[in-house]
This record gives sequence, structure tokens and C-alpha cells, in this order.
Amino acid sequence: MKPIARRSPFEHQPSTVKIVWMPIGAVMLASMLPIMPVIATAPLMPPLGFMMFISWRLLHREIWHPWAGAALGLYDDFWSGHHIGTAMLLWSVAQFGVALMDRRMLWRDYWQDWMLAAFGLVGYLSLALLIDNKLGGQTLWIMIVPQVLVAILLQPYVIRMTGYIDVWRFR
Amino acid sequence: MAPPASRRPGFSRRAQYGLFVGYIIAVLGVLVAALLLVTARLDPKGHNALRSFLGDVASPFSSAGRSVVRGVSGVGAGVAAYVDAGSKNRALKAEVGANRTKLIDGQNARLENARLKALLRIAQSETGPMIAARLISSTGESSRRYATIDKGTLQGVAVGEPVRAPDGLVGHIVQTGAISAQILLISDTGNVVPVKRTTDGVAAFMSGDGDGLLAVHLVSAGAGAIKKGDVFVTSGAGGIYPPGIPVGVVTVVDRDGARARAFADPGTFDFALVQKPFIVPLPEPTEIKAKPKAKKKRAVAE
Repeated sequence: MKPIARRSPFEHQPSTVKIVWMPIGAVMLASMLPIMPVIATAPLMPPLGFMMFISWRLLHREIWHPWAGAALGLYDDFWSGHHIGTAMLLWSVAQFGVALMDRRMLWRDYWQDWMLAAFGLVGYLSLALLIDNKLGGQTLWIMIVPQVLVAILLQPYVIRMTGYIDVWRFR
Repeated sequence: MAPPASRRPGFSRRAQYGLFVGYIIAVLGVLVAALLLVTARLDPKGHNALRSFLGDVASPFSSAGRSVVRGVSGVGAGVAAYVDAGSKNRALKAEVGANRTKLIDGQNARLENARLKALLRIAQSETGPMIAARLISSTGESSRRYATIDKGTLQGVAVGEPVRAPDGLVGHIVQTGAISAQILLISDTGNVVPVKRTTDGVAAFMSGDGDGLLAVHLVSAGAGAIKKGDVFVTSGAGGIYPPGIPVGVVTVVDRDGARARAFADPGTFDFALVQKPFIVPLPEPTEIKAKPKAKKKRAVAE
């Protein structure tokens, strides 16, 4: 162990706990946000947990274990009001979907990331609605259009937020 | 840009097997999720037990969170109110005018109602002790409209009990945990409330429209068109909801039908009352008593 004064910034080792748990904690916190503020009369709250999950994946290719979608999705189901299993299923599917896209794409940039996330959000919210409707609801698809739009417009900010957390993570 | 993927985690057998096992767990997770959803369809009771347990776990968090965030959401509501102040003002003025006449109608109706009830000796529904509960959270993300209250089976809340606020009907309990319970709000698309129009008692159904409004369906189409401003209260038909709780006022009438705004906006009140489910009174038992054969035989024997 070298004395602190002689340590260069390049030798700085961030704590493993932080590196491993911060993405997980961030997604878990984001999953809990939709229940916090108001008693909603219409579905408007974007699926922040899912957006954060996808953002981490877009930022770091190998950040999640293959089963992370199922585990974090199950946690998200506690809070989202969807039936248990919805996010567990759809997050895994989204994770595999992004992995497949990664094999096809040669390069990625801001717009492509956004578009990928947007497709993911449309698919995720539509399929979640489909499952909800199969299990007793009768909501028209048009009713979630505002929610989908809000989510897509917020996605770049979530990615940016994830970036800030990422910087903090390695500090 | 993300670094290129390494599909193999190096030459280490251990790492390769680790990845493989990871994928197996992932696939198992997907299968378990699918199974959970299928159980929700086939065995809603078991599925609900799981959900209510999770509701219990979540309730302290959301309870604390709601009190913190109330201030913030208040700011949002204030801004929103300012934005559409003009149109709201006009609408409110019109509503005040309409309400004034309605108030007089209502007073008349109440007097008449009291007189008729006394006449018919209709037993008031025994609502029993009511439980006051705080609404602590709702599911803003899902297309279903559930809300959570901070009272559960320990406080005597049971599945199927109607929930109302001072303004009007909120919904009914669909699952209970020990210290929390979930309400299916009337704005949910899967919730159907039997109602009647206050002016003439025309029977109708209301169900959620998905966007916070309620769709109104008359039981018989020829029973008189729905007009803007028609007020609907619960009719008590089919049980659960006691009769006479205000439900909604019709705000939109177009080709697709009529839609109503619920009186009780779950975002604006903190306390809701959980009542005992209304049981439709059975017909007079005297006629039934005359029927059994055993009694007749005994009468013959005597």
C-alpha cells in the first residue's frame, strides 16, 4: 500500500461495492418512483425503472447479467401496478432484444440509442397494456399514447442521468 | 460508443460456464414470469395473495413518500390550474348556474325521498362501522387503476367492501394485506358500477374509460337520452355499493356515448371510508314460509 500522497489519479481504485450496486440501486429507485407522487386517474407516469434499466444497457454493453432483466423486472412489478411477471418477462425480452440489435449494428450514436429505446418503450408499454387487458382491463391503446410520448421524450434525460450516476460510480 | 462485445468471456472455462448458467437462469426467469402471468389468469386468488404481501411491504415506503411529495405535486397542480384558468372559469360559472337549480331539485328530492321511505318503511342499509383510511399510492404507470390504502385485514378491511370519499364513490377493495389493501378505482376499465340518474332514476352502468373519465351506458337505450350535467348516483343494484352514493356528472356527450367526471378525484382527498358491502335486501320472508311441505303435513297431522 502506497502512502496517499504518492497515489496518482490513474491508480485510484473505486470501491467494488459502488461499481456493482450503484446501477442496481439506481434502477430499483427509479422503479419505485412511479408510485410516489400522486394518485393517478390516468396512466401517464413513464416506466422510469425500465428506462433506467435500458439506459444502463445502452451505456455499458456488459453491465447486466443475462438474468438481470428478470430479477430487476420482478422488483419493478412490486411497484408498477402491472401484474406480477409483466416486467419480469418484458425486461428480459427487451434485454435480449438489445443484445440482438447489438450484433446487427456496426456503430451506435445518440440518435440510434434514442430510437432503440423508443422502440423498446413502445413495445414495452403496448405489451404491458396487452397483458393488463388480457387479465381484466379494457383500456384502449390510444389511452396510453400520452404516456408513450412522455416516456420517449424523457428517455434522453434518463440516459444523461444514468451517465452522471456512472461518473459518480467510478469516483 | 460502447466497446465491442466479447461474446466469449475469455478462455477461462469457469467464466464460460458462468455465462452459460447466467443465460439458463435468464430463460428460467422468463418462464417463471410467463407462469406468474398465467396464474394471474387461471388462479387470481393465489396471485392476489402474492400481490397483497408485496403491497404490505411497499406501504410504509409509499406512505412516507406520499407525504414528502405532496408539496411537490401541489405545485404541479397549481401551475396546471393557472394554465387553463380561463376555460375552467367559464366552465365553473356554467356549472354554478346548473348547480343552483340542481340544488333546489335535490332538496325537493330529499324531502320526497324521506316521505316515500317512511311510507314504504324501507330499511336503511346497515353500513356498520366504517373504517377511515389514507390513500397512499396508486399505479400511475399501469393501465389498470389501483390505489393502495394504509389499512388492511388487521384493521378489519375485507375484499369486496366499497370505498367512498366525502365527495363520492372511489371504488372497492380487491385485495387485502395485513396493513394495506388495494382498491380498484371506479376509473378502471374493468370496474362496472350500477348507477341511476338522480332526476328520474333511469338505470345505467358506469365503467372507467381509461383516461380518468367514466363511460355511461344506459341499461335500456330508449330510456331517455343522457344530457350534459346529468348526475348519477349508485343504485345499489347487485350489491357491493350502497345506493345513493354520488358517482359522477356527465361532462361529454358525443357520438361515442356519454362520459362522466367522477365526483371523487382520488388525487385530491387523503382519507377514504371503507364501508361494509351493501347486501340487497331479500324479499319479505312471509311468502316463503308458507311454501315448505313439512309444515303443511304437520298441520294435517294436527
